Amino acid sequence: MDSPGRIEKHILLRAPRARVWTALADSQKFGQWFGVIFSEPFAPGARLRGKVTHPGYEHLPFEITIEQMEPERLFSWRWHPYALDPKIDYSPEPATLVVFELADAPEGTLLTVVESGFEGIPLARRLDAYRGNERGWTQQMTAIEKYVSQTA
Amino acid sequence: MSISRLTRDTSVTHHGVTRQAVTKHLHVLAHAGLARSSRLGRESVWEFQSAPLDAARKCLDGISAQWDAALDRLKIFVED
Repeated sequence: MDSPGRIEKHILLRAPRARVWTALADSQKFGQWFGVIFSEPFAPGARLRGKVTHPGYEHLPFEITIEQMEPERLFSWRWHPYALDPKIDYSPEPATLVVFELADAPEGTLLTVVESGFEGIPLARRLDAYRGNERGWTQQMTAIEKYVSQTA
Repeated sequence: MSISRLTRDTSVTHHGVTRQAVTKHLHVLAHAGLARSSRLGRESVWEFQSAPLDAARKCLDGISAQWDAALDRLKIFVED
């Protein structure tokens, strides 16, 4: 459930926890589904700068700071969501916290993702940047649809 | 709504909230872009402004949709 200050998602993945953990904690594998290339590995406290691979977004800086890594249980990082205007320095603004939690499920792994801390962020201003970049976003959605239908 | 009407016609004053306190709160809302006042004769008329809240909600919806798309890609990635 989403509320004004947070976003929460649950998804059942028909894969063992070890496999899901690797897809999250290995920066190369993470990048493959998330759409960003990292040259460094993830480690608690590490600050990484990646390169966005989504069409229309390649010009954007992508920075995350890893918080916690508890193997096969919890992975968290901080970032500046929707930081879509390359002319704006978002670093003085508060970052949101993204937490992935893994749990056993009868048919695989239950993954919960919570992004919190939106209260301190001027979201209305970010929407303007989003509107400026809407063409890129539409392209990305088309790319996702294509990818999903090809692999389905 | 004008403050004199708000404080006269509703139960606001019965709860011990003064006109000054209401005015102060409205100015805080105005500073946040959530209320706007205009003059009508000798009174200030206040209007609630929903646009900033709508924009914030829309932005969160956009981020939420991005997560849905990302998790769909993760599902394909680990189940392949």
